[in-house]
Amino acid sequence: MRVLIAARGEVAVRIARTVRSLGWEPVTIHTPGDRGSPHTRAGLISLEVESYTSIESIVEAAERAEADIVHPGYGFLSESPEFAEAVLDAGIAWAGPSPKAMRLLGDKWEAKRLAEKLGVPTVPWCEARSPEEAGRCAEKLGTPVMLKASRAGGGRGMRTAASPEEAARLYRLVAEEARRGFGDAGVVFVEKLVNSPRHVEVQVLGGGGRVIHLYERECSVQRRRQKIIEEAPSPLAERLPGLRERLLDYALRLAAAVDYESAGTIEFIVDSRGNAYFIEANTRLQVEHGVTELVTGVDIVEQQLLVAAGRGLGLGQEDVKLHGWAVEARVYAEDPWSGFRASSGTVTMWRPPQGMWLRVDHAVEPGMRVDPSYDTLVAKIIAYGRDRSEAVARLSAALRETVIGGVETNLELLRVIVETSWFRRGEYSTSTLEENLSTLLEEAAGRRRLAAEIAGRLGGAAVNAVHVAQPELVEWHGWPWPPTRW
Amino acid sequence: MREEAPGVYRVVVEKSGERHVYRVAARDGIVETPWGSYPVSELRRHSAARRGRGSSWLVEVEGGAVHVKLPVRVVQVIRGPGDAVEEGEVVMIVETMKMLNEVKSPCRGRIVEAAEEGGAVESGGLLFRVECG
Repeated sequence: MRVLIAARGEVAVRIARTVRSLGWEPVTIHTPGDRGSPHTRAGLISLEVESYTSIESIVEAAERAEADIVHPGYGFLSESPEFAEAVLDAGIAWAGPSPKAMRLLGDKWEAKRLAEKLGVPTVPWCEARSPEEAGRCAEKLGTPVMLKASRAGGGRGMRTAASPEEAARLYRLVAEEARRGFGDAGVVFVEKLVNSPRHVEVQVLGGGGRVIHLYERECSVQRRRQKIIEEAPSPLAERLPGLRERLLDYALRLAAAVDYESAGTIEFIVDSRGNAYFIEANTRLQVEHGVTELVTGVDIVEQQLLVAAGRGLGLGQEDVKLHGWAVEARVYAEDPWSGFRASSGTVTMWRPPQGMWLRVDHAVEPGMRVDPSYDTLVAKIIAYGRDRSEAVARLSAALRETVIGGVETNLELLRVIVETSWFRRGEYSTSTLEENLSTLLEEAAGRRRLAAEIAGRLGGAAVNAVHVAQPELVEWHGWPWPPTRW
Repeated sequence: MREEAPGVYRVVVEKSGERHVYRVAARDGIVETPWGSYPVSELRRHSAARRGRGSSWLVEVEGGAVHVKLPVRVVQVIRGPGDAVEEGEVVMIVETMKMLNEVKSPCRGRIVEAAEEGGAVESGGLLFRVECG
């Protein structure tokens, strides 16, 4: 079997590993400007395509490679039913759900209607086609409300209103933004705003007429909807009796209703009283799938490939058990002190953390150019433990061990976040990070200043020192760390 | 600073009158502290760009005058006497221990004095002076 991986970066490398472990052949793709990227060496060969979003060019590459399966990874075309159809029409298997399921679950509002039909709670909402209707909607739902264009995303086409009058006023703005940004005007959805919710999602797998779940993940550590730290299982689901059972039931109901195949995620927000609302479904592999793989022992990509190859799911619900805890931190190439602007540059130094209980998914190497036109995710550092505190402690140590040079990253901020008391206790919501951001940034900058001060005192020693033998230490307090690296 | 064992240093930092002692390791251009590991090159960049003044491993800044702490060779003078500079702008590229390093202006202003291109500057010598403001 030959698998064409229609992605770049760490996910392409990660998929290629599983393809090889099945004894199959991975093939990667690259754009002309991306020829030297590390992921191009993950497969047997790498084929040039026009762009990572050119359906025609990628399908042509898959045919040229004589691929049996196309795996879309995440990002780019992974949620495009048109791409899935083009692949299937070329007689190549698709490592994802059917285009029909992608359409049904992929459209936010279609999916909401489906959820309501199935008795899965959604955030109360209503449709508005004029400012007056928007005002009436806000009154009916109770303020505050969120106004969203039907294809809103990335913060555009979204506004919160504190009163029905404000909702009516903002209708015009949102409709205009939608017209300019996404080309569809008129329909604006008014949704009740859930204050400081937690974000919990359920991983589902389908194949051969069966749909199973791989438990839940929590991704509440976010900044402007960008996930930063994720864990499995969810601390909230552990704490609130019955929450997990409810979420799993809702997710399976939705997935079964569309005969879901392959891997998918059903996302919920949960308010402080434990009320869960379905928000959207992701019909693809997710960035944070690794934490679920660690606590269930299931290789999600392997299952996707087996289903695509027509062999069905290799496991049943009774085979899935939760073991321990996993926490993931995402290292992004962005400058937290300059408004999280995407950074560019060449990686001059890269030392990933090593050792037991760690998984580092990355496609970084010294000399690699970081291109701000792609996603800024450079590495995912995942730690595993028997329980949450063990996993968090291991993640913290791993982040301290990590070194990346040449490009600005959020690494220092991650180190500070995992040491906060709210994170250690697992008591946080989707707004906690933003509420504490200025203090955290100050703390992170302070640590770096101190390190710079110390490096200044060391003078040339810090640059010069290359040692050939393990020094014998008289006093040993666990530092320097790591002990055996030269 | 004291080297306790090869590559392991005891560093004393005074902060608002208090003495803090840190044990750190340094090798291959990485400084390892109990709260994280850092590439030295990166710290240099930050201290130059964010602090403006003070000292880094390479230079000591005092009132716009930039002195080197190690003997260096001036490879290139990018902004010479009379040139206007922004804070954090690269003024010179110097070589020390076979490594090239950018030296940035500690403040916005005008260069009044600078070492010659191609010349050597001894430890403690003046690299350049900026009239801040």
